[in-house]
Amino acid sequence: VKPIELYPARPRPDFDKLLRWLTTAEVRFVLVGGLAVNTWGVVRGTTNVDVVADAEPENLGRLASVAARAVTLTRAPTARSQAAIAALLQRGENVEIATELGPLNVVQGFPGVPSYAELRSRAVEVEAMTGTVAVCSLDDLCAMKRAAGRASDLADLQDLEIAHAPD
Amino acid sequence: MLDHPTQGHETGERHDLVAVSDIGAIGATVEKHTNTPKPPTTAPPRVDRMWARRLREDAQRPLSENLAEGIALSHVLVRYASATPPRQ
Repeated sequence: VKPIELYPARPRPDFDKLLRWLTTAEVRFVLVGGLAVNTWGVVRGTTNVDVVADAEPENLGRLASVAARAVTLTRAPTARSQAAIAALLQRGENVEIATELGPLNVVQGFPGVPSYAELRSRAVEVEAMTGTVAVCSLDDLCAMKRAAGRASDLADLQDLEIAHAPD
Repeated sequence: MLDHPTQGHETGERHDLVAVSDIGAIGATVEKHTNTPKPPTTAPPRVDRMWARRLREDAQRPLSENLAEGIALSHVLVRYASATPPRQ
C-alpha cells in the first residue's frame, strides 16, 4: 500500500554543500543577503543563499553548471539545463534557482547592489565548513539593506547597527 | 433577582449576582475590567535590552562561527517553511 503523502516531498536544504560546490567549481561570487547578515552577527534563519557573481560569461557558465547539478526546477519553467540557466544568468536579471540543496538566488540588476568587483574588493574571507567564502563587507551589506528598503531589510539594518555600535 | 451577566460591563460597576437553582444558591461577582494602560516606563523593554546584548555578543564572535550557526538555523527554517501547507 502506497503511503498517503500529505505534502510534497520536503527539500533537504544543505547550504554548506551548495556553497562548497560553488567554491570547488571555482565560481567567483560574494555572499550577500541573509547569510551575510548572519556572518556579521545577526544570527537568524534565512530561506535562500544570496550571491553576487562575477558576470564574466565563463564564470556564469560554471555557476550554471553547479546550479544544473543541484537543480530541480527554476521559476522559468524551461530553464533546467546548464545552457538554459546560463542564458538566464547572462541576461543580467535576478535569477532564483530552486535546487535540491536549497534556493540559490543570483542577485543581479538591482539598483543599490554594487558590482561583483566592487563587492569583492571590500569583502572578507570567511573560513567555513564549505571552505573559504567571500562575504560582503559590513558597510556594503548595510548599504544594500538600506537601498532595498523592505521592512525585513530595515529590521536587519537596525540589528546590524545595534550589533556594531561603538561602545 | 438574577441580572444579565453583562450588565454593568460598560460602566465598570461591580455587581453581585446570585442565582438560585435546585442545588442551592450560587454567587458570583463581576468586577470592572481594568483596561487602563500601564504608565509608560522610561527604561526600554527588557527584551530589547537582552536582544541588543545578544547582538553585540554575537558580533564579537568569529565570523565563521556566526555563518555556521546561521546556516544551521536556515536549514531548520527551510524545512519548517516547506512543511507548512500553502494557503488556499
